[in-house]
Amino acid sequence: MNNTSKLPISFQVQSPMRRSGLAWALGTCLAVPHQVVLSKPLNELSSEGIELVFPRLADTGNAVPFEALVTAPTGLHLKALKVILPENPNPEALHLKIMDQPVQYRLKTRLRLAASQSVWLVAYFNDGSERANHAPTIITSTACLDES
Amino acid sequence: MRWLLLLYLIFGASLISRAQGGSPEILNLPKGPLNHLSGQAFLSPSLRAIQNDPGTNPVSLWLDQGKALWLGQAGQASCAECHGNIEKMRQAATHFPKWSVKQQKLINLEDQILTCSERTQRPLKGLENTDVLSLSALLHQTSAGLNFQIVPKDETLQRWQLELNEGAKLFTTRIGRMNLACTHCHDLNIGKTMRADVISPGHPTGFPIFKLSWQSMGSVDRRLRACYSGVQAEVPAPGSPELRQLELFLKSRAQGMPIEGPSLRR
Amino acid sequence: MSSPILTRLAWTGPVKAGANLEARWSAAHPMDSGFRVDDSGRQIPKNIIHTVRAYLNDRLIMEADLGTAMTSPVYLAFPVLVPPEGGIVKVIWKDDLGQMGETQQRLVL
Repeated sequence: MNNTSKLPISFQVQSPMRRSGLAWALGTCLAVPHQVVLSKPLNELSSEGIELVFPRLADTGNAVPFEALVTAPTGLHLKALKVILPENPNPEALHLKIMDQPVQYRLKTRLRLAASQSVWLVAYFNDGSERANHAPTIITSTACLDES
Repeated sequence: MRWLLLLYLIFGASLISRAQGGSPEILNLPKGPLNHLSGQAFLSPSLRAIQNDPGTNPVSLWLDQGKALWLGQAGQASCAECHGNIEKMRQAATHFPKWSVKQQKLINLEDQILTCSERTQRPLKGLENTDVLSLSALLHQTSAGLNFQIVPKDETLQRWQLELNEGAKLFTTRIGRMNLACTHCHDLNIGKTMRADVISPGHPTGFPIFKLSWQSMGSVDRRLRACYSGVQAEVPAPGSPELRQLELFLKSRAQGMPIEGPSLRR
Repeated sequence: MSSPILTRLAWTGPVKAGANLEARWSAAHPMDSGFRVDDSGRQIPKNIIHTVRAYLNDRLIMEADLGTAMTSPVYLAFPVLVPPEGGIVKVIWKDDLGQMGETQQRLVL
């Protein structure tokens, strides 16, 4: 099932140069921005089999709990998962490679968010296919530049 | 100085208006007086869930280290050699800050841990040292449920009283560019939002804390210094007498409130 | 001399042969993103755990590349299928400064 209607306006994973330009302008970024390489735009991938748990209102941008339960399509198994935060200076939060050929995988972690955004989970299967789902959140305090 | 006027107007306005009370997530603060609530009540349900599960609670990392240090497994001298079983230290954390006759100043639990460590082969340095905070976390966890029992010895009573008076004075003295005293926020504006956090009464029952904005564990000394920074005042050095005096006053103010053990904070 | 990086490895659920446990690994690494400044206004250089590997009985079961969006402490929960003979789960991490750490726990049936 596609989620084009839910696509956030500020979603711009395909222009990492704009992301890095902004970061340089802030004068604080020394890290080389990651390029997220995908076969097709995320919003065109099916989200079937991907359940995400992500708070709609995050208590703090410093630690937003994230959970993903991914079930592979019949006959396939999981190879890798990627967690992407498009509004963060470095959008690729996690790239997890799975060795045991499972048909289902539950991942939990905590993420730092620079701004209110949707988190994207991309699942990679053994036949080269991909699926993706996203979940939005609003934060009140940014993680990246806080100095207190 | 227009920015100063703007700052006063903004803050003045927030003092007058009753803010929505809290970060966007509903905190479910009880109706009625909030001044006897510990910081626990100001955590959102999701943060409380993270805290209540030892597997997800960041504090567990320091508690585990504290236990390892106590038993001497982490390459340091074992505290148990002198102090015995950790249960024997059940009351320890409740007695600080205390007046040290030897050092002629108020000392808190972290100061005492540092002093104790000097008697071992590998003394620890720094109040915010990982091992110091780990032991503080363990000792506070051991005292969880007990009230603060800061009872001065007879011979130091007068001195102790002076220190407490100083602490009370500090709590009500305006400082910093924002020209605020502790009491303005922590007595008069509890429940209101400030700097993406909710103002609590400021009771020290949850220390040492894992503060998410620090992304690390910290002692009450560190938190008080952050308060000075928060009102844009000159920040005292770690271990300064005013910080110990404030800690003494805060614990007296929190009389009857149990120690909660090391806690999670925003 | 940097302070030790505290790590923790535990799991939920009864440890039985064939059980799918949720292993929870966390590490109190500073995870400095390179974007924050210290009290004197100087930028804190980037130093994060960039790779985490999980082994079950010395066999690699998971490898994760971490970015700056991971919190401090890093928290990662992933499934571990208990083999009939039980065994040892080992998690190693590496950071930008070349530091490494290892934690292991025994699966006791």
